[in-house]
Amino acid sequence: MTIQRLYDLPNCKLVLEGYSADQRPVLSALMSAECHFKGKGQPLTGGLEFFESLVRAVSSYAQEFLSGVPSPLDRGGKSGLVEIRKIRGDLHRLTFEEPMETPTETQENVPSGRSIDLTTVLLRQRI
Amino acid sequence: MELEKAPEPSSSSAPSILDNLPDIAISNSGCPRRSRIQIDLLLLAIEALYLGSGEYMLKLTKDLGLEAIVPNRVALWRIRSTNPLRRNNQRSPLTLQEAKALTIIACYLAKRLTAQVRKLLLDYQQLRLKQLPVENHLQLSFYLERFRAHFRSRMNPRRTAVMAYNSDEKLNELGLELLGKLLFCTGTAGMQRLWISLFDGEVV
Repeated sequence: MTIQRLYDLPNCKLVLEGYSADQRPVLSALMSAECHFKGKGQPLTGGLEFFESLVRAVSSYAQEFLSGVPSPLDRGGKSGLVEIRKIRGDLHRLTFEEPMETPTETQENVPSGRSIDLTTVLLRQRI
Repeated sequence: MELEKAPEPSSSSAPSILDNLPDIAISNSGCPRRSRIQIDLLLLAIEALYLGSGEYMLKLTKDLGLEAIVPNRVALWRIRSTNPLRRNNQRSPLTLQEAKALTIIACYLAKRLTAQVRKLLLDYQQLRLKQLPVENHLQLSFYLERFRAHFRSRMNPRRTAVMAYNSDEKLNELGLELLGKLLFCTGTAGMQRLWISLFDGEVV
């Protein structure tokens, strides 16, 4: 059974699509995830790796925001496809490195990514 | 006169709401300095946002069953005054249960004030974009004015950490930073995040 979950907030929307392995409506396998920010153009999209990376980056950054102590991810670890960095006290940059499925000669080693600057209020809506 | 420290209630008799926050290993001298400063400053920001918050904090302690830890106004003042920056700093330690009670109170109040905090931060963004001073915004300048007044009347100006906030601009910056933190406390796991953040990076 295919399931779509929609988490809609005033400035941000998260759409998850997957299917349930049993009768209960539990999204047990994720197929795609979309993250929309109001006024920030096309949504960020990806699969499980993107979604897990988004959750990890947001959670880690939220903790860092509150404590002021750099998260373990910033101390040399790699968070994955999504990273969030502080630009100044009230501005935060989310960067998304889109994975390339089959790099061709022209695409080789050319990073394909996007960065979105979020205010604290926008970022909080992702948490 | 040194008062005898009240024994910490055993975990079995502790209010169950405290179980929402995990126990953290702390030294015998109680919660670390940064935790004591941070939680008191967040409550100070709440007081500047919401005029009746002092009374409401006491009401919350009753509603949430925290009376065993914060029985009255004096106890609340004593616990908050473990903040080493306070003029009337209490040298007694801040116990884990007391810190949990303050965290819970701060997060309940922050949730209640979510709309107001969000609006002030959004309006502040607009002011920045237009390069206008905060004084142009009535509610924001009221908040910052009250925050500065609370900070100056309660913090000890001879402490180095307090001297760092020797201008209106620096105190405004602190007040705005605390607003951002309060907004993060209102998230789904905001209370747990705030609690853990008070001890992040501390070595026991």
